[in-house]
Amino acid sequence: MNLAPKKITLTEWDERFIELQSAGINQPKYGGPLRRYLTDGDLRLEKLKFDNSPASLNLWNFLLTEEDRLHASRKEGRKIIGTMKDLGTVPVMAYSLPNVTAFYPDGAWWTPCVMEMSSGVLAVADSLGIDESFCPVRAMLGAFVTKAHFPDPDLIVCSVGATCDDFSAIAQRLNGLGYPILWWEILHRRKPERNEQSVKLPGGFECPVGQVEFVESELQRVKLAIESLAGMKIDDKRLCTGIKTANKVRQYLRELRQLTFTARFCPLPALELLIAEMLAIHFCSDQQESLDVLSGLLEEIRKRISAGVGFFDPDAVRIFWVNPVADLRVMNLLEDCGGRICGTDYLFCHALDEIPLDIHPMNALARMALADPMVGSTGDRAQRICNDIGLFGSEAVIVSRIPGASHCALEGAIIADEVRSKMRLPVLEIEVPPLADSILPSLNTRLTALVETVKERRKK
Amino acid sequence: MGLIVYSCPYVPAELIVAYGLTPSRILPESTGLNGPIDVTAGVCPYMRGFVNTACTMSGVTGIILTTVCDQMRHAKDYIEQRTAIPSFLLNVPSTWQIPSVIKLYISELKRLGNFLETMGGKSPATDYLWRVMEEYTKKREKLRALRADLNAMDYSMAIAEFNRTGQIMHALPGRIAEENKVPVALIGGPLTIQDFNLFNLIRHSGGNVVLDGTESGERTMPAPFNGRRSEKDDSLLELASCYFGHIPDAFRRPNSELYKWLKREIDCRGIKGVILVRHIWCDKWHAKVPRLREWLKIPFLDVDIDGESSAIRTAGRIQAFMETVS
Repeated sequence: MNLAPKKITLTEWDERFIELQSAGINQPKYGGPLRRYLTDGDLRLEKLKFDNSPASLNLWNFLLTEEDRLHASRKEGRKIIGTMKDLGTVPVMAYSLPNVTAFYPDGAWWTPCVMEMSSGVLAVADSLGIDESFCPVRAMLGAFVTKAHFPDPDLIVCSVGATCDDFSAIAQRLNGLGYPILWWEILHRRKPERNEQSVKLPGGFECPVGQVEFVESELQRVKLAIESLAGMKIDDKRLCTGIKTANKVRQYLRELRQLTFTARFCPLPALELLIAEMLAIHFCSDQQESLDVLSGLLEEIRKRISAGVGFFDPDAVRIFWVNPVADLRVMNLLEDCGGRICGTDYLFCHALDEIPLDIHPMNALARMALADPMVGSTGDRAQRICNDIGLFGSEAVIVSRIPGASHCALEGAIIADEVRSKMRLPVLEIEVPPLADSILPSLNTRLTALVETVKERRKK
Repeated sequence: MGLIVYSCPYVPAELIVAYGLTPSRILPESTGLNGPIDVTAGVCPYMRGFVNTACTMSGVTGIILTTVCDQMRHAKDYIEQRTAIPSFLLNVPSTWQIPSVIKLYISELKRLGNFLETMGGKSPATDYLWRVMEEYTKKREKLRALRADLNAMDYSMAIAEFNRTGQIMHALPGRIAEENKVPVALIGGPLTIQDFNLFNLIRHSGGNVVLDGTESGERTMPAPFNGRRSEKDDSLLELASCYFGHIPDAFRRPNSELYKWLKREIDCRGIKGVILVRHIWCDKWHAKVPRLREWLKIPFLDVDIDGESSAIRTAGRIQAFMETVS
C-alpha cells in the first residue's frame, strides 16, 4: 500500500497500523503499534506528530525498544558497556566484538521528555544534589540509580577533558555513588603550530599529530578494558570490519541527510531525521538492525523524491539547527511554524563522517574522536556549520540552548557572530527544556518571526 | 617586561619569569560587567570577571587560559573574536593516574614556552629556570610561614598578592587573637577580591578560617621544588610534578585526591566545620556539594555566590551555620 506522506498523530497511527497489518506488511521482530509505548509510560508520544511511512514506524519501534534489547543482551550473556560522552567513538570499537553491546547512558536525557517527567529520574537526580542548574543529562544519574531504564553496565567508560563540565561533574557524582568508571582523556583540539606535523581529521578540521597519538594511546586503554571484559582481542581485522560497518551506517545517514536537506519537497520530517541521526552514535544497541532501519528509510525517501511528493510547501524556510532539543515536540513545532530542517549539528557531526580506512584502525578512531565539534573551539564548530550551510542552502540558523549546559551559555553568541558575518543569515537562539509545553506559545512566536524574516529577505 | 595574566593555579609562574616576562595570577575585583563576555544566563560570574578584567586592564601582553574549566576553555573564543589581545590555552589533563598525562602536561609547558617567546620572552638557559624555581620555593616557604602570624583573611590576601606580583607583602597587619573562634575550612572555586568579605562574615559569626582551600588560597600552592641534584634533572618534569602532580582540585578525574587532601587537613588542623563557596554555574564544585555532605563527618555549608547581590543572604546563612557548629 502506498499513501501520500503525511504527519499523523498517535491515534491516526493506530488506524494506519491496522491498515498496514491488513495489507500484510512485514514487521521486524520488535515491530508493533506505537500506542503500546504510551501504555508503558511514554506519554509524550500522544503530543507528537509522526511520519506515516512504514519505514518511520520501524525507526520509532527500533528506538523505543532499546531497553528491551539491552535487557535481552544481558540475558544472552553479552557484555554490556556504558560508554559516556564521546558520542560515537568507543561503540565502534565495542561492536567489533561479537559478544559486546555498547550504549550511551547519556541517552537517558530524553527520558523526562518521552515520559513527560513520570519516570522520576530527574527527581532522583535532584535528591542526589544534581538539580536543574545542570544539563538535563542529569537524568542519566536517576536512570542508573532507579535501574528502571537499562541494566547496570559491566563496564562504564567516560571521556573527560575537553568536555562539558556538567557531564564531567555528573559522571563524577555517579562514580562517588560507587559506579567504577574508566576515565579517558580527550584533548582540546587545537590548530597545529609552526613546525608541528599536522593531520587532517574527518570532517575537515586539522590538529597536530601529537594530539592524535595521545588520544590513540588513551583509546588503547579503553580497548584493553573491553578486551579484558569480553575475553577476546579486538585485533586489527575485527576492528577494520567494525569500522566498515560503522561507515556503512554513516554513509546511509549522509545520504539521508543530503536527500532530505536538498529535495524540493522535504521527504522526511525533522523529528524522524533527528532520531535517525542518533543511530550513528551507538546503533541503538544493534548495529545490523540499525542498518536495516536506515536502509528502509532511505528507500522510502528516494521513492518520495522520485514521485515528487513530500512535506510542506516548497517555500518552507530552510533552517539549520544547532544542538539537540531536550523536548522532541519542538521539532514538530518548527515545521508547524513554516520551517523545515536543512542542516543539523546535534553535537555529534563527527559520528556522521567516514572513518578513514587507509590508516591503522586505532589511529583512525583517535582522529574521529578529535573531530568531535565539541572538543575544539566554538570558532571551529561555527566554521563547520557555515560550510554545511553552504552545502545545504540553509536560510537561517537556530541555536537551541540546552538548559544548564556549560557550553551553551557561551557558544551561541560565537556561532551567531560567525554565521551572521560569514553567511549573512539570521540567527535565533532559543532554550528548550525537557518539557516545553509552557513556553510553546512564546517559542511559536519566535520561530514564526524567524520564518517571516527569511521570507521577507527572499523578496529583496 | 611583558605582563602575562592568568587565573588558573596550574600555570607555573616560574616558567613565565624564566622567559623574562612578568606573571600575574589575578583575581578580579568583582564579576566585571564590561569586556568581551556579556552578562548572559548560565555564564559563570567568576569567568566573566576574570576575562573582562584581563581584557580591560592596562599593559597586558598576553592572557593564559586553561582547560580546567569548560567555560574558561570557551572564553578563548571570545578573546580571539572580540579583542586583539594574544591568548594561549594550556591543556591541563583532567585524568592523572597514568604517566602519559604528565608527559602531556610537560609538552603543554613547552608549547607555553613557545607562546611566551612570541610575547617577547626568551627561552631560558637550563640553569636559569632551576634558579627561578629555587627562588619561588624560598618565597613560598616564607608565605607559608605567615599563616602563623596573620589572620585568615590577611593570609589569604597575602597569597593572592603573591600570586599577582610574586612578592610577599611587607606591611603586614598583626594577628588578632582568635582563641574563642571555631576553626572552619573554606573550600571551593576561586574568589574575587570582593568575595574576601566572606572571611569577615565568618569571623563576625564566631568562626575562624584555619584553612583556605579555595582555588585562591593555600590549596593551590604547588609543592616545594626539589633542587637540581644532577645535570640530568629535568626542570619541566619537576614543575609538572609540583604543580600538576600535587594540586588537588574538583576537576580531576577521579577526584579522590581532593578528598584525601581535605581529610588530612581537617584532621591536622582540628577543623570543626566546612564551608564550600562556589560561583553559580560552576558545575564541578556544585556537584561536590552532595558528595561532601555524605562524606564529611563534620557540619557542612554550601554557599553559592553570584558576585553581585547575595551579601546579606550569605551573611545570614553563615551566621546560622556557625551557631550550629559552635
